[in-house]
Amino acid sequence: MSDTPDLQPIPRLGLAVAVLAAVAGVLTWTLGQTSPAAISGTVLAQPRALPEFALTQHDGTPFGRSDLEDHWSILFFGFTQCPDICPTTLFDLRRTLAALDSDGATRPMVILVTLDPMRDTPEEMATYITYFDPEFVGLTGELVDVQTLANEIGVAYAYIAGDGDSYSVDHTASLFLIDPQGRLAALFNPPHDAAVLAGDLQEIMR
Amino acid sequence: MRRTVNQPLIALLLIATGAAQACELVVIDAWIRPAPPTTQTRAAYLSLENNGTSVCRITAATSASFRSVSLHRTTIVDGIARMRPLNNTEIEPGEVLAMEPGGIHLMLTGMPSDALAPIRVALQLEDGASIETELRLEVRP
Repeated sequence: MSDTPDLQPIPRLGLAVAVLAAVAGVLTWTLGQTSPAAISGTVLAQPRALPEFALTQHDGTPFGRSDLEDHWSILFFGFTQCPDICPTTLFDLRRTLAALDSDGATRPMVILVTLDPMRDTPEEMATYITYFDPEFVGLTGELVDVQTLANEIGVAYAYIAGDGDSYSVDHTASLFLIDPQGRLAALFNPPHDAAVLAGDLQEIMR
Repeated sequence: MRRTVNQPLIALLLIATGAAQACELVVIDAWIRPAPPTTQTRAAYLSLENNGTSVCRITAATSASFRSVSLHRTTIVDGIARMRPLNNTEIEPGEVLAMEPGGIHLMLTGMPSDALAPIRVALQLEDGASIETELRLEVRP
């Protein structure tokens, strides 16, 4: 043995236990998910309840967790000055809804939550989101409220400085499916294929 | 075999003049998504074919039509999209650089009022040469 003080192994053991517990936790979480072969995304074996939140809809009215109840919703986090992945995703979602419509299936509410509420006022969100589809909903609010919801759902984001005072936002571009009880039911990682997504949604929303 | 030219209007041959070994680029496609009128930052997707005998090394893009133009690349890892400036892009002779959603794009900031008008874009090459073109972006969702 080395001349390490006697107490040294204890925190090390504690750390090892903590790491193991974390690994076990991750494994349990991972194994708890079911992804039927037919589904391109990840379906949570146990839908996860969302916390209460208070955001503002693009028409200026409040929007909270209860507004997610009694219908299916797809949440996407982005920002209106996002040139590539956000318009791509919103057009993918428009095509997805068109596919659902042609199958006579239920339309989920499509919701864009901005991670850039500093620039994305309700007015800005209204002009932007309704351009893609008049039924799409844009949510903004206080930065802390937007980030709290993003954190709860598991959305990563980072603000990246550009030239001058410009900045961009790195962000999770996954789609989060919320069930009519307001719980996170499934998630889909990009890139998205509208036909595949429409099929998966019908499978899950049955 | 020659690639299909989707848009004859934009099938412009761009030659870096003055270079002993020419980097020759053909724009075989150029498109942009429709966007709300207030959108200031958009992505255009070009497909550039190197018809020359030497590699084309593009280091920057400029345009008087916009407040700023830059080449960017989006990468998606574990579902997280990150967009960064791209300071060097190589196109080997005979190869095509296909810009596409979720990948390389030309980021345009400060759209002119008539976004559908032809735009002038200059691509800066590593050897100091610049190749300039006027192109019309096809609008596709």
